[in-house]
Amino acid sequence: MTGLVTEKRTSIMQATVRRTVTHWLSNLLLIVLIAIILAPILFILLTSLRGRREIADPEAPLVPDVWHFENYAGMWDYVDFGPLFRTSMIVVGIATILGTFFASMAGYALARFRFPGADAYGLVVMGTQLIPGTLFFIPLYLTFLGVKEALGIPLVGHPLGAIVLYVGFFTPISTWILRSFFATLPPDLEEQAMVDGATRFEAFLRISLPLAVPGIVSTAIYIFLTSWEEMFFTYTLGVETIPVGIRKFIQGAAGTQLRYDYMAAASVVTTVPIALLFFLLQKQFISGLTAGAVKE
Amino acid sequence: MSKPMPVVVGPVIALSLVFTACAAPTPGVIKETVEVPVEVEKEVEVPVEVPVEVEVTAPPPELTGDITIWVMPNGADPQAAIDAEIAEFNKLYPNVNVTAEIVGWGDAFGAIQTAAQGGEGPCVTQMGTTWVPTFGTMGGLHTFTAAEIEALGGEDAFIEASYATAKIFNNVVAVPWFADVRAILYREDVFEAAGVDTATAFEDLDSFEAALQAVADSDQDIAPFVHPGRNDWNVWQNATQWGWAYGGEILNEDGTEAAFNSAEFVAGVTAFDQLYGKGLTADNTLELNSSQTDAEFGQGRAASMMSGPWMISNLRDLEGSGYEQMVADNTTIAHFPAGPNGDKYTFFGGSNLGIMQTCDEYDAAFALVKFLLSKESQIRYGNAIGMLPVTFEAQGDPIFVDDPLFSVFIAAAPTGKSSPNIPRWGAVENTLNSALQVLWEDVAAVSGPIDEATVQAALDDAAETVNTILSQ
Amino acid sequence: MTVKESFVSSSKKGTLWRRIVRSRIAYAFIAPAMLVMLLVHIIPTVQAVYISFLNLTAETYLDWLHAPFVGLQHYRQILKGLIFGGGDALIKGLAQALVNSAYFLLYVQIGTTVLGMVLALLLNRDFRGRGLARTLVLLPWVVPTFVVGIIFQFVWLQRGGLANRILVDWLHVTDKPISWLIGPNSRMALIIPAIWRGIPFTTVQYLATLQVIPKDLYEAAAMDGANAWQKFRYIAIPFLTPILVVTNMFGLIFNFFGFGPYNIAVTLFSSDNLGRYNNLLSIAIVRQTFNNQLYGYGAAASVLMMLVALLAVGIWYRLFRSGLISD
Repeated sequence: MTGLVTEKRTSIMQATVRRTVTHWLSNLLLIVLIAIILAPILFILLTSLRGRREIADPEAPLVPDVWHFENYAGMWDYVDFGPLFRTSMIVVGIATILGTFFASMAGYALARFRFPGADAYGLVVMGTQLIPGTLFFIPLYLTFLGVKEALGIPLVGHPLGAIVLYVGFFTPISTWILRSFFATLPPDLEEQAMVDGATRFEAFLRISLPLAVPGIVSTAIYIFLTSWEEMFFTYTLGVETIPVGIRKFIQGAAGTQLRYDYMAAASVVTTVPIALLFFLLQKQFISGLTAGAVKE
Repeated sequence: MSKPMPVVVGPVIALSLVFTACAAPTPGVIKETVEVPVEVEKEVEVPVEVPVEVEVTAPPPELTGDITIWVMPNGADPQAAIDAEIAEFNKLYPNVNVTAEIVGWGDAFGAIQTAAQGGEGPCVTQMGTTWVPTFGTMGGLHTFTAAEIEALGGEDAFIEASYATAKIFNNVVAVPWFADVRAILYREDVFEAAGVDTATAFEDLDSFEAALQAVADSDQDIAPFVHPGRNDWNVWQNATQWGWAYGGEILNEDGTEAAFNSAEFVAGVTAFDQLYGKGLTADNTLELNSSQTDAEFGQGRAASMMSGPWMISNLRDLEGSGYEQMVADNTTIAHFPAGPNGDKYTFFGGSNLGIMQTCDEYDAAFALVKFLLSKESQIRYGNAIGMLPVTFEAQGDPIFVDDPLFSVFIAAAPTGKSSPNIPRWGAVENTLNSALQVLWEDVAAVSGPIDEATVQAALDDAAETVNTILSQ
Repeated sequence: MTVKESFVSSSKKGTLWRRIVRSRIAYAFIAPAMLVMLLVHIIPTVQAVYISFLNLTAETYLDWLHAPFVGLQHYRQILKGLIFGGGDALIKGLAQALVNSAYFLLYVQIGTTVLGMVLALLLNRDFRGRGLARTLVLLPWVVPTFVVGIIFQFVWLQRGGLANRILVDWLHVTDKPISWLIGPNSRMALIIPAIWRGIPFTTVQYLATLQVIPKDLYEAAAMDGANAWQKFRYIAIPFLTPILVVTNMFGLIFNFFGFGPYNIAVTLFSSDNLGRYNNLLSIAIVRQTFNNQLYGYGAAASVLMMLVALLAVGIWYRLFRSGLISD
C-alpha cells in the first residue's frame, strides 16, 4: 500500500521537477531570443554615442570610453534635421487625420448601409492593396505635373503632393479595418439619437465615432507608422521628409567623407517619435497590428 | 455581385480617359526642340549661327533676386566652400540672395531630371559632364547664345576638353565649372618600406601590380590597394580607366554601338577585377563605396587608391575629413599607369553649370554663373574643393602649377579622355555600371582571381542592352 | 420614412434608381474615400495599363499621349524571356529578380512564422516580467524600415561590424571576417533584417490567438494523458490555422509588393543596385523604370506582377477558404 503511495508521490515529484525545469529552460530560451532581438537596437544606440574615428576603426571597443553626446547636436545641424522633422510631421500628421476621417466615414457606410454597389466597392477597396506602387505611381506623377501646368497647384516637390498620395494610399486599407470595427457596434444608440432629431451625420460624429475610438486610434497609428517611414514615393516626388533626408545623407549629400556617427544619431532620432507613441499607446498599437485579422 | 460591376467599371474608365486628356501637359513644355540627327557628329567646330544682336554685359550691382543653386558634395566641406563663393558674390551683388543646396551624387541625376521635367528646381545647378547631353536633349536647360558665351569669356577661355562636354549638337547648354582628372594616390613611405622604386613603379600596369605585390609581401599590416566595389555609383569610371589602358573603348566611333565588350576592354576590366582575387586589395574593398574607400586610404588602412584631386582637399582639412596626419604627410600622386601597348590615358570628368529653363530670375542666375567662372572664384573654389579650374587663366596660376599634388593632375590633363557625348549616355552609363557592379558579386564568390570568360559574358549581356537602347 | 426603414435592406424594394436615391446618404459618406481612391489608385492604374502598351522613355515622357504605341511588345518580350530564357540584360534581370523574390519570400515567411510561434508559445505562460517581455519583443516594429537598413549595415560591415565581431572576435567561430554585404551571403544580409522586423507582427497575432483558447481544453487533454506536443498539435493548431493562413498571406503581399523590403535594402546597401542576390522584383522594376527610364516597359512588368499577385491571392483564398474566418 505504502509502495503505491510512494510511487505516486515520486511520479508527482518527477512531474513537478520536469515542469520546473521546462519552465526555467523556457525562460532561458526567451531571454536569449529577446537578447538577440534587442541587440541591433542597443548596437545603434551605442554607435550613436561613439566618436567618429572610433566607429571607423575595426579594433576599437564597442562600448566607448568617452560618450559623445554631441553627435546628436552635430547631426541636427549637419543634416539640417529641423526642416526634415517639420515636413515629416506636417505630411504624416495631415495624412493621418484626413485618412482616418475619410476611412471612418466610408467604413461606417459599409458597415451600416446596404446600398447598390456596396459589394463592388468593398471588392475594389481590397483590390487596391494588390496594385503595385510602381504601377500607379508613374501616371500619378504625370498627372501631378499636368495639374501644376493647368491649375497651378504645386504637387511635385511640395508636401501637398505627398499628402494627397498618402491619403489616397492608406484610405482603402483603413476603410477595411474600420468597417469591421463599426460592424461590431450595435446600431441602437444611433437610432435613438436619430429618433431624437439628429441627422445621420450628427449621429455618426457624436455617437459612433467616440465609441469606435480604439479602432480609430489603431488605424491612425498604422497610418502614422507606415507613412513616417515611407521613402520611395516621397523621394521620387522630391518632398523632403525625414526618410528622404536621411537617404540623401547616406548617399553622401553631406560631404565626401563618412559620417557613421551622424548616421547612427539620425537613426535614433528618427525612431524616437514612434517609440514614444508606442510606449504611450501600447494597447492600441497592438490592436493596430492585429486589426482585422483576429475576430474575437 | 456581378451586376454592379459594369455599373462601376464603365464610368471609371470613362473618367480615367477624361482625366488623361486633362492631365497631359501641353506640348509647349518641351522647349528647345533639339534636332536629333542621324549621325552624332563629334568635334565639329561649327560656329553657332545666332547673330550677335544684343551684347550681353554684366548685370548692374543693384540687381536683386532670390535664387537657388544645387551643388554636389565637392571637397571636404562642400557647404563651406560654396558659401564662401556666395559671400564673395554678394560683395558684387549685395541684393541677390543665393541659397546653396548640397545634393548627393547618388541623387543628383534623378533630382535634376525631375526638375527638368517640370518639377520644382533650382535656378542654377551643377551637373556631371557626362549628364549634359541627356539634360540638354530633355530640354530642361537654357541654351546659351553666342553673345552670352562671349560675355562669359568666350569659347577660347576654356580648356577644350571641358568646353566640349558643355555642348550637345552645337548647342551650348551648360558651361564648364571645374575639371576632375584621376590619378593614383599612394603612400610613399609604405611603398618605399616595401623596397619599391616609386619613380618607375607606376609606369605601366605590370610594374604597378608588382609594386602592389611587394607591399603585400612586406607585411606592413596595410592593404596595398583599395577601390570601391558594388555599392558605388562611379564603378564604371574606375573600370573604364583600365579598359582604356588596354586599348579598348566604351562605344564605337559614331556612338551607335557598344564597344566595351571588345577583347581589349574586357582584358582591361579583367586585370582590374583580378586584383581582389590576387590578394592585392583590402579584403573588404568589394563592399565599399567612394567615401568609404577614401576613408580607408585617409585613415591609413590602405596604401594606394585611384582618386581625383578632391582628396587633396580632404587631406588638407583633417578636421573636416577625419583623416590621419601621417597619411597627409606621406601622400604622393602618380599618373595612371600605361597599358600593355603603352596607351596612357586618364579619366577626365568634372562638372558643368547649367541654368534651368524653369528659372524665372535669369539675370541673377547669369550673374552667378559669370562670377563662378571668374579667375578669382575659379582659383579659390578649385583650391578649396580640390579640383582643377576650367579656364586657362585660372589653371595657369602658381597656386596650382607650383603645388606638388595639384601639378601632377594638371600634367595629366592632356591625356584626359572622357565618355562619349551622346544624349542616351545616361541609360548607357546605368547599364554599364550595373553590369560592372554585378561583376563584383562574381569576384566575391570565387576564391582566387576571376576569369576573363565571366567578365566577357557580363559585358556581352550589357552590350546587347546598350545596343537596344541606342537603336531606339 | 421611418428610421427603421432606412436601416432595413432595401435591396428588394423598388427599382435600382430608387434604391440609389434612397441610399444617397451612404454615397455621401463614402464620397471622400471614393474620390481619393479614384484619384490615386484607380485612374492611374488604368492610365498605367495604357502606358504599358506604349514605348515611353525619357524623351517622350512629358508628351506621353503621343508616345509610340507598341501594343503587347513589352509583354511579349518579358514573357518570352521568362518562359524560354534569354532576352537582353533587362529581361534577365527580371527573371533573376523573380527568383530572388521567391527565395526572399520563402525564407522570410518561414523565419517570421517559426520565430513568431516560438515566441508566442513562450509568452503565453505565466511568469514574472511577462508584460516587460512582451513589450520588448515588440520593439523591432517601432524601428522604421529605412533605419533597420542603416542599423544592419553597421552590423554586417566586414571590418568592425557587429556580426563579424561576434563571430570572429568573441566566439571565434572563424578566423577570417566574413563578407556579408557582397557575395552569396548578401542574401542573408537582407533576409535577417526582414525577419527581425517582421517578428513582432507574427508574435502578436499568434499570442492573441493562443490566449483565446479555453484553458479547460488543455486540462481535459492533460487528464487524458496528452503530452505537450500532442496538446499543441490537436488543440492549438486548429485555432491557429486561420491566423497562420491570414498572416502569411499578408506577409507575402507585404514582402512581394510593399516597399518595406525596398527601404531596408536601399539603406542597407546604400544603393538601389542590389546585385544578383538581392535584386528583388519591386526593386528591379523601380530601377528599370526610373533609372533606365523605360516607363512603358516598367509599367508592363508591374502589370504582370499585379496579375501574378491576383492569381496567387485567388489560389490562396480558394485553398484556404474553409480555414478563413469570413465576414
